[in-house]
Amino acid sequence: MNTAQSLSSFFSDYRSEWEHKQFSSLFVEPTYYAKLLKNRPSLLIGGRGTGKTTALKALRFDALPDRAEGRPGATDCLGIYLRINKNRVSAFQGDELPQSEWGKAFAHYFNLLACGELCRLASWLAAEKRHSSKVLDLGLVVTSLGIQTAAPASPDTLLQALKDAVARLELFVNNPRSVERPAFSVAEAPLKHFAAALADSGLLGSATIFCCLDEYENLTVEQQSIINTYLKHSEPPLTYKIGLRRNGLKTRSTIDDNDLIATPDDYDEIDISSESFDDFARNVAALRLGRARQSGINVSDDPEAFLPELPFKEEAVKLGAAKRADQVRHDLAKHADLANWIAAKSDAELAFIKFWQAGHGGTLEELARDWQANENEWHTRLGNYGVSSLFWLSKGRKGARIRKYYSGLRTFLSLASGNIRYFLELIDVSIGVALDSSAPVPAGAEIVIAPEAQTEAAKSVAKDRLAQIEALGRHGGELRRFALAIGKVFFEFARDPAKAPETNCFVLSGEPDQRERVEGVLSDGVANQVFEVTPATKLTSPSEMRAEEYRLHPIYCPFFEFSHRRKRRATFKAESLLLVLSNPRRAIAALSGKPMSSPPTQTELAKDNADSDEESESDELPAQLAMFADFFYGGSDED
Amino acid sequence: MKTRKGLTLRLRHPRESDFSAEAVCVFSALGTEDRSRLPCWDDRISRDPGSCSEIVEQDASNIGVKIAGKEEKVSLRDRDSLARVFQSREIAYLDISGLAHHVWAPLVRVGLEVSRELWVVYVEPSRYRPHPSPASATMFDLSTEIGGVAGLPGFANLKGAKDETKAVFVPLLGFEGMRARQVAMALDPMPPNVIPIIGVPGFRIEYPFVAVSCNQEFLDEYAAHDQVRMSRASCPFEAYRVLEDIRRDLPGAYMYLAPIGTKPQALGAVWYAIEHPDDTEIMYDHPKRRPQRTSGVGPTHVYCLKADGS
Repeated sequence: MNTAQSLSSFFSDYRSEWEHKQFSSLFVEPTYYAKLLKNRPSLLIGGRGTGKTTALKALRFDALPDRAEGRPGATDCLGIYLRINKNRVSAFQGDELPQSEWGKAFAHYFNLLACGELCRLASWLAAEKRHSSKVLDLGLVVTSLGIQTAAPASPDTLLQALKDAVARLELFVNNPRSVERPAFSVAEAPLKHFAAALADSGLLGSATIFCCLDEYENLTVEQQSIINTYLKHSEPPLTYKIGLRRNGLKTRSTIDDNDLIATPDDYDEIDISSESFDDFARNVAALRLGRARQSGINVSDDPEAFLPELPFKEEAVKLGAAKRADQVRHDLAKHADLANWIAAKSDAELAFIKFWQAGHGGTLEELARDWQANENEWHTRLGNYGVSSLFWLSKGRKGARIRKYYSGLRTFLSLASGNIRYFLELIDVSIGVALDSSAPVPAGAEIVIAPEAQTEAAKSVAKDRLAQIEALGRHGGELRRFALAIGKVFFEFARDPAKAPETNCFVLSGEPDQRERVEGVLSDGVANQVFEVTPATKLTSPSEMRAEEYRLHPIYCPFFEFSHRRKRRATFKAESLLLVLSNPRRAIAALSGKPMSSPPTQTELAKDNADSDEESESDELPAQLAMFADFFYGGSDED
Repeated sequence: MKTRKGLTLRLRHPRESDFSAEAVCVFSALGTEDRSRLPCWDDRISRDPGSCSEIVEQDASNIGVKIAGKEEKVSLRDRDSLARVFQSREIAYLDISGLAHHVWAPLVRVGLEVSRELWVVYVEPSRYRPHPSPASATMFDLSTEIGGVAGLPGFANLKGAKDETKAVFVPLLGFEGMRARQVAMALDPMPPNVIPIIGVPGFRIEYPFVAVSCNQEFLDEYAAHDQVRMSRASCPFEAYRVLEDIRRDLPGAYMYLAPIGTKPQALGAVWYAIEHPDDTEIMYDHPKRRPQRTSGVGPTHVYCLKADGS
């Protein structure tokens, strides 16, 4: 294994987090962990990649060696873990049986699975040689499940009987009208009996059993009502920890329709997005770098040193500020009284004058004199518009590999925006780019990931994640089209010096039915972390309705080359967004407020191949966006 | 020619007389695709309506079937009702061209049980509908939306894998790249082995390249390029054999099968799942087919899945 592979192995577990051999040594408690450890039901809400599966699996009885070592706090709970398999639970519905009967079959199935996990827990406790003066009596569990097993039942014999029962249930589910219906166990009862048996045997000690259910959104409304009942009625030594996506709780009903679950009465709600992500992610990175360092890799355990930022002035120079500054110097050379002022200004600052002129007019001389007279005002202006000017600098730089940098720990935290999987992937891919075999690290040198490598990695991750959108949920195809169109519009905004700086959020306007349709898709996008939503702030006019403010998840920003910082918003008509589905060319024109663009002609392409400063539509489109030209220019000119 | 299991007949313009007069013919009502219903089935209805089972309605759980002219509702998970579709005849032709997977798969299962000789008919389309503004590498516009991952009626495997660390995901890839990815996401975390199957040769010479191109992102993401296996797009028997090869190469591996490629390949996968119920699990995404997704009528394939009662 070379250095890149060795270092990468500390960050690559986002691909298959649980199977990673180093899980226990790399596990970092998320900031909400103490809340999750409370002995009462919790709903852990977070999108794919936010770490909820890792958090729930870390509660499993055998997850962390710390448990066996009696680490304080860790032994107070003993988790079992069940992932809701959509392919399987979807079998419990259909016209062949009344819904109530399917519900009973599903509850029985859930009981069988959960008791299987409890058998494994019991075996593990016995193997851990927990002191117990009593025998584990599973008789009541066996009876309540309606199954047969050798008496007295042990965890092992019960586990085998449970497998047989699942097989019988499978036969019935596949042929509910012809196969004899097995005896269904009553909702909750077997789990309660099992927990009580473990407590009575002394094996459990003072610990509470956490029944951890992951991907709760995969259950139907009726199935959630059943499990909600388990949660509502849970009592020590058994409680429930449920992981689900935003909007994944389809109902608060229980089997008794009048008895709803509510927070905080019945459960705690932990929304991962409102927990402090940055500290957690920073700790994750620091621990892993530290482990890498311990293994002999020459790397700092300070994530900020490992992922250096590019200061504004340096980035401006890398993006071509010197050329723009030289133009300013040349044009102002005849004004001798400005010579000292010009000499004191950096390339980035002089390029900024050019940017301001492009967006707001005026002569260079007027602007320079204004700056000279109002240093504070221009300092503020630079603060507000500086980042925006960096995007403009890239205009016309045909063939440039990097047209905006995305580097530094803070930037990666911002791009990941609460998603630990994205954060690890950004670092892992950066390592891969930086330590490519074509540019080996000099012997003895500390490994630092250059801003160029970080930027290339951010673009690569964004591209891969964009490719995944289509596979996310039932609106995946529509979400991908929305993301591409909105990304293209913000790309254009970012290069327009007359636009408000860093416009990258939007609110919806338009007819209620059209807004409702768009919001349906966007809501699915929020659940799948394609979009983010917050209540709108800073209303720009009294007539503006207080609506939700959306933005593309920042992980996509490096692909579309616009700012990842949540700043200003545009208003998009729902009607225009819906047009993205059938006529993206017209839709993008309507959203950006520009005339419809045409696909690059052969002449334009030929011009692009020549060395020319003249800008064209095709010239403006970076290579990664040009891949979607069929989409951007798709659709007719007609309504 | 002697009838035998594994035989494929290819017909350019099938006539009613190409199908045994004693057989029951099961086919769909006219759909929005040219190939969804062969003209010869109209001839069969005219000549001998009592030998026809025409599927006139397809919903998630049931089908409406005109059996010998009398319409009835049949549950897709009711073996006895499904058996009635085959009218107790020894020979059966089941045309799957106009039927959704969740409809023909249970029919194939029951047809294999109740018929002495089961033939499955499939009509290739001439063309697929191109997408006017593709947002991905998927260049055809075949589905309006994806219903979501769920099993096929009667194919639920609740037991699951004995050992997930040995499981294998086998998607039979088609032209809609997002479908393999969507099914794969339901498997999070992905099994250690991913072995895609691509239809080679395809219905047309360029189709295998199109399939690879449309699924490029999936193949990249799961580093599955060098795992790809090939089987003729129009042959269920080859698909079946490839699955047997995978089973031989990965003994004891639980197989997650995603039949999202051509229908003949899906038929091979479903047939394989019927014969290996303990260690296979079908995962299907139930796309909503776009009207007129294909046009024209290509060759007709008639596959013998069962002959002489075996």
